[in-house]
Formats: sequence, structure tokens, C-alpha cells
Amino acid sequence: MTPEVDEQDQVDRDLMQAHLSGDAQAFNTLVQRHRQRLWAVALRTTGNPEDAADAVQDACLSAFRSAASYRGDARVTTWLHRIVVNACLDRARRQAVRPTVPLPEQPPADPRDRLAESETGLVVTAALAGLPEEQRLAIVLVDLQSLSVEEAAAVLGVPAGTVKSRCSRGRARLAIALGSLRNLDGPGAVLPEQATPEGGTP
Amino acid sequence: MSHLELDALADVLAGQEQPEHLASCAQCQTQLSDLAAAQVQVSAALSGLATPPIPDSLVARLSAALAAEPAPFVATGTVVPLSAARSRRTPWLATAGGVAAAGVIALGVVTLRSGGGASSDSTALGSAAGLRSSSTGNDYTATSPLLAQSLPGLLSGTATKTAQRDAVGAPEASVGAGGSTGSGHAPVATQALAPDPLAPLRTRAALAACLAGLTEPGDTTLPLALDYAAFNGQPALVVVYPATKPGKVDVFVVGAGCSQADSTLLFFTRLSRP
Repeated sequence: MTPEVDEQDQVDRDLMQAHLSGDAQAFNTLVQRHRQRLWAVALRTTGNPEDAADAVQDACLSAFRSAASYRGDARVTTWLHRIVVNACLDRARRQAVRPTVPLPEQPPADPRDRLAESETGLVVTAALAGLPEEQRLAIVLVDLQSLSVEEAAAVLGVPAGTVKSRCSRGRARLAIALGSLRNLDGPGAVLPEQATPEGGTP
Repeated sequence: MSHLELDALADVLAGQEQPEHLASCAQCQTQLSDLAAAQVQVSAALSGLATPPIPDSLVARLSAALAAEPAPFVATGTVVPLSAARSRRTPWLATAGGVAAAGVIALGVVTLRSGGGASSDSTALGSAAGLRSSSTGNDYTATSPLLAQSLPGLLSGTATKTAQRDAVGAPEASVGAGGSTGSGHAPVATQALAPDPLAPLRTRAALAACLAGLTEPGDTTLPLALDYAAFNGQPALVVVYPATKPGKVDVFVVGAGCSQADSTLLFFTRLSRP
């Protein structure tokens, strides 16, 4: 699938070509154009500034070295996002096998107040960090980075329908975590104790 | 019938599910409506989630890390930094050959004459290790498929000069002058009967030094093949090494002045091993 190349993407593609042609500054310029977004993705994905910084650096170097593998079948930003997401996941997997120091317990907050508190972003950030990884990634890309569902699907390597499902399921969990969904304690909808591994329908 | 769980309701909102139960269950319809409203609030909260700016320290790290990177390998035919090409080779290869490249050359390169206007050389140890030395005189370029096409012959020691309109390089002349009778073995250093820009690289010591300059210190990997040829019209030596990636070979093209201190790398590419 060849994406529609808009003006910004064309600039990115030109920079990639210049980089591959030996322009020493081209890739740095490309990184400068997108580093804030890549940082945002990494920070929200890892939930940790140190890990996010390392992931962004790993990703940028990886992209630099593998630029020749970019075939133009996706936007340059999609390709960069994919590399950053993979770098984040790699770090998370490596850390999963290491012993970790548990975070101190937070005092329980009244769910009704949580949405108001989210003006600081802390509550939303914490709720986001508590989502299953696949749902968090989908929400970070679609809701925070404003990628289209199709772009997010390309980044994550899953069908668009799966991205929609993961986003919706993640938002539902966030709604409960933020106290904006109150009527789920009846016999109707039930929050599963554990997230379903896959994001639902393809 | 059981009511819909949260994930099922979320999938309905995502347009991925439409369970029959929903149409007949007022409770689930209410839950769905509540969830839809709640998701709107969540989306608003998410949209208000500001990301702190990228730290200055990371910006500096990125700039420094990218500045330290060697240029990418592309088929431009331009000179690429040797340090970049070296980075393609990894220490594990050092154990693959087990014999220093210099040692191979020291044992003596001898020539096996072959027909077709080219020669194919082999060393005693080189034969055992799979090293083949040819003098096709081909004029390779970064963009033509000639290098890839010649690879099977270079690796098997059966390479012959490919017909080219304007092949350059004394190796061709020297081969022609030396004849192609297929008789006997002769040191490569004595092969050139006409002025040969690549003559320095036909001496054992100079070739050993050139190969040493192409590998990391301590890397004793043997080249799989050599070809005294040309690149972009200039005399050049093609050196084929096993790549770190299985099924691939790393191809270095160096100029006549190749030495340990200055490998005069003209081109590098990675090709599939035939």
C-alpha cells in the first residue's frame, strides 16, 4: 500500500533520500522535525523518562543505520514511529526479566475526584500507564499522537479493526480508572479482572 | 442470557461487534450509552494530556550519537569511510577462519591460468579455506549488476572477464600478455608483463597489509575471493568476505594504493551469497 504523499511527508522523503546520498546533515534534520513526537510516544509507552530517552536514541540510531530499508510504502513518520515503538517494547521486554523495585503505593483517591485532578495530567498518565501494553500503544498513537487508525495499524503491524478495538477497550478501562464510568457495578457489563491479551476483532 | 462485558461493549462502540443480545437488552443498551459518554470524557482528558518537551540532554545525546555514526552504505559509487565498512564485520567472524589473513598471503599466492582472457589464482591454504583470486579486469560500478553477476565465478575461482565496451585496468592487459594457456602455476607477482597499476597489491606483503586494513584489529577472517579488476574506470581490487549475516557476503572494492593505514575504500556492498 503506497500512502498519499503530502507536503510534509515529501519533505521527510527528500531528507531520507539526501541522507542516503551522503548528506551528513539530512538525517539530523529529519530527527529534529520529529523528535518531540517520537519522545512523546516513547514517554507514554515506557512511562519512564530515562527509558524513553534511551528508546528514542536507540530508535534514531537504528533508523539512521537502516534508512536504506525504508521502501516508501508508508509515511516516513509511520516508519519512525514503528522503530520507536519497537525500541520501547524491546526495552520493556529486557526489563521484564530483571528484578524491579516496586513503586510506593499511592493513597486511594476518590474516583469522583480523579477526572478533575487530571488537569495536572498525573492521574491520566497513571491510568494510561496501567493499561495493558497493546491498548496503551493504540491510545498513545491514535488519541495522543493523532495518527489515523490506518497509520497506527501500520506502526503496530495489526489490522485497523484491531486498533479500533484496542483503543475502545483502553478508553473503557480509562473511563473506569478515571471515575467517569459509574454504572458497571450492576449485573450488566463486567470489567474483566485481567485484560484480554488480544485486541478483539481483526 | 448473560449481559455484555466491558470489552464487548467497547468493541461495539469501535464498530467491531454488533451482538444480537444488545438489541433486546435494555440494560446493556444503557451500559453502552454510559460507556460512550464516558469515552467522550476520556478522549477529552487524553487530549488535554500535555507531553513535557524533549529534554535538552536527550537532544544533545541524539545530535552527538548521530554525528558519530558513519555514513550509510548506498550504491553511490562514492568513497565511503573505512570505519563504516569495518563496523560491518564482527568479532565472531574472527574465529571462523582461524588463520590470519597475513598468514595466508605469506604462504604464497600462485596462479592457475585459465581460459577466457582472465586468470584465476589460488593459494595452497587459500584453496583449503576457499580463497580464490581472479583477475577479471571487469570494470565494476556501484549501480551495475556486474559485481553480483560475477560473484559466483569469483567465489568458485572460475571468473572470466565479462565483455564490456570500455573495460579499464592493467590486470586485463597483463592477463592478455601472460597468455591463457592454462599451463602451470606462477606467482601472481610475476604475472604482470605490462604496466599494472595493481601490481603493488600483487605482492604478498602489500596484499596482506591491505587486507589487514580492511578488518578490525584481531579479526583474522579470510577473504573468500579477490578480483584484480576496476571500479568506475579505475584499477581496483575486489575483496569478498563472508558477511555477519548468513547467506551474505561483504564486498569491499579498494584502490591500487590500498594499505593497512589507508585502505582507499572505493565501494562497499553486501550481496547474497550464491
